[in-house]
Amino acid sequence: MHEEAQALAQSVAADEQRRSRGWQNRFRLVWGGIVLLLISFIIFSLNVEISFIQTAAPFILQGVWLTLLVSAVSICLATILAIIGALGRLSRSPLLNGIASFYVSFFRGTPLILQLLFWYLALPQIGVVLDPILCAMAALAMNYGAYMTEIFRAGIQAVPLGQREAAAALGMAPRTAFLRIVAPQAFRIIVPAIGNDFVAMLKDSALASTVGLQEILWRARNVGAKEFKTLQTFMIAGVVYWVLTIVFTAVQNRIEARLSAGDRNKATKG
Amino acid sequence: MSDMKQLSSTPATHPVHPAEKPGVLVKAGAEPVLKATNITKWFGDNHVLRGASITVWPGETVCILGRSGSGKSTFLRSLNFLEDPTDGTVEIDGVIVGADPFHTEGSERQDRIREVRMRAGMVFQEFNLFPHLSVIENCVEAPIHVKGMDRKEAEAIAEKYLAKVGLLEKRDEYPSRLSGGQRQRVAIARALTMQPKVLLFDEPTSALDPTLVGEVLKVMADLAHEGRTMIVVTHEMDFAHEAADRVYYMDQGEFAEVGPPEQVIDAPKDPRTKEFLSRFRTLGAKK
Amino acid sequence: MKIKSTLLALLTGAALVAGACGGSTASPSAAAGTVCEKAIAAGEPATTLLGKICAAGVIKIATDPAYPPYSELNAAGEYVGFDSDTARETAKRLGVTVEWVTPEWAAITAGSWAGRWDISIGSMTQTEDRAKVVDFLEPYFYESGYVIVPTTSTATKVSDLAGKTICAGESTTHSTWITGGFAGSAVVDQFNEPPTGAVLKTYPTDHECIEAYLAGRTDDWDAMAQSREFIEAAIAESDGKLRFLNEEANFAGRISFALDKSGPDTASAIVAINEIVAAMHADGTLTKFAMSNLGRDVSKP
Repeated sequence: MHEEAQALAQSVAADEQRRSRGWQNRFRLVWGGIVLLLISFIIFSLNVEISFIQTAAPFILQGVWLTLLVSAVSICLATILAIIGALGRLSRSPLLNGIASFYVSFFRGTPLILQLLFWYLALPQIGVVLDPILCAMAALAMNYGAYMTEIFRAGIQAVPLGQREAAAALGMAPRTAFLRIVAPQAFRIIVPAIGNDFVAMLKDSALASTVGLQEILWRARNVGAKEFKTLQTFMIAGVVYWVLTIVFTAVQNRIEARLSAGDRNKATKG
Repeated sequence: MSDMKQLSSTPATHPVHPAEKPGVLVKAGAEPVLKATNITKWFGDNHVLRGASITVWPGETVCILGRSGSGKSTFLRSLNFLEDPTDGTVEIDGVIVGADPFHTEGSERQDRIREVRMRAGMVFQEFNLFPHLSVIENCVEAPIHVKGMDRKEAEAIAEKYLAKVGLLEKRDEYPSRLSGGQRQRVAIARALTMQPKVLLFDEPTSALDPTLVGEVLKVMADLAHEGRTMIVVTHEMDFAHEAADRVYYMDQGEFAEVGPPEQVIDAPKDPRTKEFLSRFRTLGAKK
Repeated sequence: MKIKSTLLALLTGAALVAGACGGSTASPSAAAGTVCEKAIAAGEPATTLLGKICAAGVIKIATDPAYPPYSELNAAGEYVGFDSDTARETAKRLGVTVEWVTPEWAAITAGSWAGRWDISIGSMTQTEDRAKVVDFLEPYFYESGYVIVPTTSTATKVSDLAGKTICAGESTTHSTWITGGFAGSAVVDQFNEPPTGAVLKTYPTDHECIEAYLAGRTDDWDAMAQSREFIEAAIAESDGKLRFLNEEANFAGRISFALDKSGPDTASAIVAINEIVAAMHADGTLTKFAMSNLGRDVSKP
């Protein structure tokens, strides 16, 4: 009787595994099918020249280094701005809170390309001339910092009040409680947000081409324009951005998995 | 509310209720370890606490009963200033902190509040363990970062108390892996590791599965019998009856009745207490 | 005031290396008596443009490297073409190294460069409007404007295009010609008036006019105006769909280096670099560059 039950359980488990594998295979087939369709469409209707792509692609790929550099530096600066901004938004001081909420409203409320042009064209009027790469970093950092401020603030506020009360009841000063109890827990929400924003920033860095920075998009336009083939070079650029996104999303997933290792079996009944 | 200003200037003398006598484990001639005087609290127009006072001697266990909304949790949380009273004074182990409803006092009062909190360990209804720290780390966090204690010394103390609550073998586990009863016991050990003069329990078993309540109450009863000073807000009548030296019944922000459990629980004098207990006994199953 | 800490300078340098800054000339030899050496010896103050360039040992040159055979960034990351060769030679005679900057064309023609680059050597035609914001040097070549039409078009001369839509790049002399901006100009010789009632259609760059047409947007325009080499390249790419309107030049411009009027004082730089340009004409350098890049000598009017 017991063996029968066990055998049944085993075959049910095997069947579920088979179903799940089957599902995954069909999922991959769909991806493959869509990619094939896209490639066929491109090859047949868009006049693709392989030899041209062979020379253009390496030239475009050389821009990856700049794209990564600009994005990496900007995300670090944006994170610092977001920490300051979130603390400002949570502050009881009307001065700090006012500055922080103005910053968030303005930089979320105006288009990024306008902000970039502001750094590039408006600052020189008061004598501050930043190189294009610095303009790009400043624009991306200030813009993303505003969005991330709100995420950080929400992350901090999401830490249950009970945590702060427990820390206080143990005699912790507010700063100690924030640094050692609240912030580490807010981290759980914040880290995925930073990862998402980095991946998004990789694409927004393309705006720097408008101020002459020779990153991926600039190179795509340059190598394509002279032969009137920007459609093909933009496609190549698109693929490059896509691959970068896939790679860094996978990296981000890995990091998140490691960070939440301590959350296994989270839901135990109390 | 305009008469509020005159309330907070001179500290009133501490009224001791006639039923407040040192319990059996209290050494002769000992001074009270905790005195809360005339604790008053307004939430807007809501007069939640109406001048309640309490005296607790070292080694006593006192329980505070009352229906929800009576203010008993607010009163307990006023003792360590998680709620800031509108009027009244709290004295724990000689550290005195008064009310500051108009926020005129500065950081010096905050420092004294921290001194009070270091002497009064609190156990919460929702446990409030730090999820990103292991059990032992939960316990030593405050001793190290508030008292500046050395890690080894703190861990030794923490292990002693973890053993006392029966969870030493879980020292490196994370709270998410523990059952509710285990988490609450860790919370008790965490409070004990600060070596407070008095323990405050805010409905410690109300959030627990009925099957897990017993293990926590047993730990608390052991602590009571060892001579720990404890103030317990609870609905657990049997525990109060068995472990408390004195029981307080709170009704609408003031203590309606104070006395030994044989009186307050078994033979209440005040009609409000009577009504509460009669309803309690008919509705709830005897635990 | 320029903000450039050493770290950021390194980053920018790295960026430019990545962006292929091939084309730096070797440092001047001590014996060569370059223009900068003479200028510094003569006590040129560092506040003038010439003084700034010589003191830094670097000249920042703006170019739009999407226009072969004048300016192109090749796959190896080198700046090649007639403009690029001329620029490198100019820097060599000055005695400084080249730093290439690639802003948008509209930014170059608008002046107010804020010191981001010192000079434009990028096939800029002299026009009265541009002369308000930049100082033009002596011409280094001469270029004419032509028109390209679809092969199916029946037009054979400019007047056939009356009332039609004509495409050009933004801020180019060709768009100025179409709107009649060269009537009575002292620096541009207009041979043919633009078609009466012609409607100008612009794209941010000239290439987009052609690309849009070749991609199938054949209703976009009836004709497009640009230079000879550009039109030849477009025809080559068009698979027979495009042709020259005719072999007549419609206007001829003087192409010169340009300096920012709103930057440091340009007087000494104008004198010094004009000497270099004159020398390059006289000793056949410009002819040599023109023949090797374009196959015809554009350095003569």
